Amino acid sequence: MTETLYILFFTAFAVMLELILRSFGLFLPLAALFLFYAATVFGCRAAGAAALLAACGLDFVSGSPHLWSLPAFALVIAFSWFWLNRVESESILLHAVPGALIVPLIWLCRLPFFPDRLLLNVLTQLPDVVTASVVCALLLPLEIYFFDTMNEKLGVDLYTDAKIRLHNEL
Amino acid sequence: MNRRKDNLLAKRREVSPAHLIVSAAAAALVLLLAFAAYCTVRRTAARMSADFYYPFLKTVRGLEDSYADGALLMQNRKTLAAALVKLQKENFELASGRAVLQDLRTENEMLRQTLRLRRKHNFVPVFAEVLTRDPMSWNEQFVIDRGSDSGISEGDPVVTSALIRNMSIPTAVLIGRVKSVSRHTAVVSTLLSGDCRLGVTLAKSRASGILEGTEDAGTGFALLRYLPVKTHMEEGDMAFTNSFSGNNPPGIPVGEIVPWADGAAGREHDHVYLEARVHPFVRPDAVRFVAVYIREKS
Repeated sequence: MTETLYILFFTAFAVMLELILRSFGLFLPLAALFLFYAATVFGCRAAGAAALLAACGLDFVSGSPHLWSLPAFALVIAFSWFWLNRVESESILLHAVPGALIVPLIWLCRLPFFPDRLLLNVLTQLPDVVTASVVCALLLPLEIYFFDTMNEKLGVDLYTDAKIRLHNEL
Repeated sequence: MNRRKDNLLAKRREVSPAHLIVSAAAAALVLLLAFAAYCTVRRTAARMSADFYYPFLKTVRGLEDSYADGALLMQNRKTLAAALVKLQKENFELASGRAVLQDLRTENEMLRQTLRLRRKHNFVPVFAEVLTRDPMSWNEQFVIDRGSDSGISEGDPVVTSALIRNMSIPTAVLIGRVKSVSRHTAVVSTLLSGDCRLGVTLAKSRASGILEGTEDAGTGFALLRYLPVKTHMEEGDMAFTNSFSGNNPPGIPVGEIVPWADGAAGREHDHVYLEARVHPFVRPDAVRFVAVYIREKS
């Protein structure tokens, strides 16, 4: 129950922050960063449900007729699985790499759904994507540290223990 | 034992055509049902999501407006007094014009009643503020903080106040139409969006056509199509809404004709109609406060 409320609350919070930033013209995929974290800590199913909620919030509130963000979030969850299972290092600072990669992943997945102004979007948004990549490279390690500190007190699973849990399951 | 297994496997490999057809039909039916369920659930999910996040987004906008008001008070008193005098003058001019229009409206209704003509719809403005936009569709659509609770419905025209040409007081200028509505929010498609189509009339030639967004909203132009081939147009001709559909209040300025690359104002399309480029009077990305015209309840 705690985990369900935890996921619901922080998904909604991340979506709300991202919507506010979008209305100012800033592209920062905070929901995707949280989904990366949630997929590692709580598993792909819980993250998938959170991704559906996040896509509903981000796309429908912005006025999109369909859930264009859902395929992008699915890729982020797949990426988190890859990072957990294939990458050997457990350093939190190394998470700057997925943090930086998530931004262009989300952006490239959304671009094809707006074909009318594809070239214009690429030219005008590419500098923002680069800036957002740098910011998210810093944000993801901070997010992991912040959430793990909070999870310890709440009695929820930790991100840093995910590899240990995986080895135990194997 | 192995022979029995081999026989069973061989039987499974032999799939009859009828079995294939039934499987394909079942899969098609499942897909169709899933698609229908998605379409139904999608609309409900869209409305629920929009109404769920509305209070949070509205709070942020409210804080922004409060800070803007606070910043206004930090200005020089002389500047504020001059702005106040200017606004009072505009207000007085608008009120005077409104009194004349009200008189004309009453006379129009009396004459229509005398001639037993059908009563025209009157439109009432609902004022709203832009709540959020998507950077991917910055010029094509935005979301406002009023919805069906305020009487807004799909297709309602959306206007904003702007100074156009050499006018001394701002006037209402059309910027788009309502695309979808939830209880507290509405999505507005701007004139540059392909979703927005409306009937407009040119001021000088009185020719009417359909205005719609182009494929590339980044150009900043909308296309005015289906004008009669012999229409005489000039650069700078003003386009305004007409009342043919009954969905828009007539006479609202929309934009002005901009010539094509070859210098001509109009371009023939298949020798059937003329099309022209219209530059909206207001850039959609510069809009913050809007009004939605809804039909007055009789």
